[in-house]
Amino acid sequence: MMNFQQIIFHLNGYWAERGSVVVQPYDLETGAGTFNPATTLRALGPEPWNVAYVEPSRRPTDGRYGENPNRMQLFYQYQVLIKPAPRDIQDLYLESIRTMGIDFSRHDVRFVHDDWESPTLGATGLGWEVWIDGMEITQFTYFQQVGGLELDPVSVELTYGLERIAMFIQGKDDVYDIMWNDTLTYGDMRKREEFEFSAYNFEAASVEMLKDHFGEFEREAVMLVERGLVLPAYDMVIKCSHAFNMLEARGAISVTERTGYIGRVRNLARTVAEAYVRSRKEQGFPLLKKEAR
Amino acid sequence: MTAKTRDLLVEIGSEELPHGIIADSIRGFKEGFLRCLKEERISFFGVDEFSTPRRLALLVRNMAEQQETFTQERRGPPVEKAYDRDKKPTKALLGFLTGNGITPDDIVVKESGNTEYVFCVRKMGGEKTVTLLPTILEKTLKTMSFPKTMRWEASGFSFPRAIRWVLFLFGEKKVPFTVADVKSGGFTFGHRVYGNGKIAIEKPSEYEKKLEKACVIPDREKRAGSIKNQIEGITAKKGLAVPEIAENLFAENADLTEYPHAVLCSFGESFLDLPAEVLESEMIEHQHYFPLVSKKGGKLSNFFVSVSNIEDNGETVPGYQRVLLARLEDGRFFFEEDKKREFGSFTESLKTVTFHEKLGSVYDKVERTRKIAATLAEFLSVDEATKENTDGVCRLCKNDLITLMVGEFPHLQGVMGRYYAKASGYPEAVSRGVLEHYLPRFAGDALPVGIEGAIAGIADRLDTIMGIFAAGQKPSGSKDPFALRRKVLAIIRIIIARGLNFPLGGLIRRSAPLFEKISSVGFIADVEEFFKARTRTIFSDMGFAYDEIDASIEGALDDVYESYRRVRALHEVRPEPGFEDLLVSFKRMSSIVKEEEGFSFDPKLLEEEQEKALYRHFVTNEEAIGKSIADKNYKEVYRILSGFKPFADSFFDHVLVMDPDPTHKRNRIGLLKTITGVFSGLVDFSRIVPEGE
Repeated sequence: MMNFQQIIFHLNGYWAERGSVVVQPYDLETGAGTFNPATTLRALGPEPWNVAYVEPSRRPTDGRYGENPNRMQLFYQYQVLIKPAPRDIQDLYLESIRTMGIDFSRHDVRFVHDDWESPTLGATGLGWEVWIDGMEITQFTYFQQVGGLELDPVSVELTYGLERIAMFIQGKDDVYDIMWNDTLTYGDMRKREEFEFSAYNFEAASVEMLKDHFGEFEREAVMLVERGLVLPAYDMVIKCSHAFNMLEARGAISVTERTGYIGRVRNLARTVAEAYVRSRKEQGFPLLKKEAR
Repeated sequence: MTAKTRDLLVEIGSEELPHGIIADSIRGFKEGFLRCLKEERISFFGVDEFSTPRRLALLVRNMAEQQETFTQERRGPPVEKAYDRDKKPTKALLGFLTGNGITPDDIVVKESGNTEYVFCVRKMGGEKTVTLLPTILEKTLKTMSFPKTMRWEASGFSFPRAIRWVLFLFGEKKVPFTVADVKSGGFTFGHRVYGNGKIAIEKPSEYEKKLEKACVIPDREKRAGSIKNQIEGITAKKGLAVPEIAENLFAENADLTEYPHAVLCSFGESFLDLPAEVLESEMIEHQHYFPLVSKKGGKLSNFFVSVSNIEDNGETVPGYQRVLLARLEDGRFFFEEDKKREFGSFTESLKTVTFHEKLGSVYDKVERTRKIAATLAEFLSVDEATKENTDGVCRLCKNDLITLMVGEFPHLQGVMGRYYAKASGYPEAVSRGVLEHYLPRFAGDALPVGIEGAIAGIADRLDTIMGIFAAGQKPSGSKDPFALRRKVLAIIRIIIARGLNFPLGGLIRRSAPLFEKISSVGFIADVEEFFKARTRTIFSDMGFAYDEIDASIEGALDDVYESYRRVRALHEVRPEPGFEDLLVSFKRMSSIVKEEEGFSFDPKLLEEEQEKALYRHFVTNEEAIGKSIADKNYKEVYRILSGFKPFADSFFDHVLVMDPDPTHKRNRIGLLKTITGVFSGLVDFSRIVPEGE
């Protein structure tokens, strides 16, 4: 039976063998693996791409002070993005799960309709939640748009919920009981962190500071795009998004204001996406050439 | 002539289609394909349809191997313009020949309207079906419409999900076809787990059997039926049953599986403390699980059924249960969190929720609704306690919109409000009203039991109707984005069901100042007109005849309920023998009265026996009529009216109203006016359209 870190080793190995470049988590607070520039930006434009990585994902409003067996303000996604989408991607995906020791003749695997949308990224995709015995373990998406731009070729994104998979394999009802390695549990590693960050997100974070940050990051992003520094500009989009999530957790954003904030992040994301495609074009779409060689 | 036929099989194999679109997709596929066959004049005998998450398939039986043949005639230029002096073809003729792809030898000359024309007469059709099939399928796929489609490969073709194989057979012959990056073949795929790779299909008729052998039941109805049988088998022993709200799950689970197996599961009894509506929503909406209720009493149990796509081996149960457990924990968290706040305190937060750009926040709406409800309560002369409780309902009725639970399950609005109001210690009349102000939510839904919810519900809807009119967005034609028509219907249903007597027009006018910042008072006339027109339509939908409505609707906005009772009374007495004739007599009286201006009435001037008799009968009944109208006993008035029949008949048979003597004429008109006048509050006889007219 695989422990938590073995699941990650397994996926790294599995996808590396199938041509993925394995990269590291991004060093900013992201809400999901999708936010990592290795997905958001690389999905844009004509260049082929095949990447796999773990992404710690922060969802401040989902914090439960370490008291809920399923919800956390931070969890780990395993993200795979392949462009163009391979024809046998469903089989490739199922094989990655089967080889973790999940027998599909004993457990009910299902692709259940769930289209994906990120209003802040201006991104949409069609796909499924993959269920094992009714539990969602993966989000499986054919990207159609990012930053408001139509994608061609289409990328396929697999987002594995690592804790869910570990709970399933290890037969645990509580996320904190997952074995991280053979001696330490997920709770040993993270329970205190969940408590402190829940308190921070919901109670202690300075609303004024966050509001200021949001505005500052937004201005910085605009300035950076103007100077052609697309990658740092995208960092600012991630930072804005996280500041917004924090403000929401603090209950500092009214329903009416919410739409306004989301619109501001989406505008930035679109500007950056357009600038990124321009920049890659100016560089001559290097990965296209590499593939041709 | 008996044409040769074959069966046709076409299967579009795809990655899992969204369960919500399968029914519409297979219908669209079938209709589109058959439409194309018809256009191509290819006959067939019958069609079977198959659909699972991974395939849409049609088996068309006894399809002709050839198109029907038919003769096509096309008229070209007149003969004299077709050839020049040298008998050579002119440009006009040459153009006609090229246009039809024929040579001068193919031409026939025929007369048409005294002129000789050149004709192209051709035998058309007769083409081999098999050569037409690729185009037919291509056209079918292009014309199908879906709520959402995606692209997945280089050609840019779009479909709800990626197409991965196409099985296309005409008889035993494979039909070549390409869509996106897929080339058709003579094989299908079975169940994801039990199916063993490609399954060759030699001929259409073996399709269903071979798939069933590969653990796919391709017939959607058969899967739904199988789920139903399996669940009945499981629940019968336990005295449990599937509740009505879960009926849709049979089809839904059929659309989520190819090889369904029902599995009995359970959750901890302690969760039964949560509102049943929450538990049911968690099971039905998120997990597509069947909640189970006791056969007697319909009480929710802690058992449920999940439908698996593999054979039951007992190992899936812990997983199904664990997922639900997590959801129920969440549900409990939402419920407990929401209950931590005093329910009334949510009202303040409604200021942050926009109701409508021009009409402000939901808080503003609630404030207006309270005022409208207060006026209505005054009109209805309810007691002080009821007034207070009604105001309580209005203040609280939108509070649950910002609770965590309604955020998760929007359709539980009202339901949760009731629980939370109760938990915060509000009186039953208030908490019930919070739920009931939404009733009825749809045709056939329950109506408010308490008067508080009824008043709040009318006020809330009237606020929306008036507000939207004031904002200049009144419904037009088929556009009614705020469902205002349905809101009027709900108001009228409540009024009728509860027998509420109040001036609706008065309520509208008294509420007008609430909207003065948004619009000039002019919109009020539009609102009233809208209500009048809707009332007519609603009465007509209830089965009343147009003339019955016209005769009884005067003053409807002064009291909708009485207007309804008047039309109903008229409708009910109308089929009685002789009543139609009586109506004709009274219609005649009221026409005379309306047309003739001069009148006066003195009983002493009555001369003829028949007019005296009519008057005597009137005098005898006058008080009873007046009293019955005052008592709103309309059927009694119509009963008394029936008694006028012999007197009215002999009056018109023997008495000349338009007497040459002006004194008599004026007096007789006066008599008729006196008689019809007593009925004026009940019915306008002039609007009656007698049968056959």
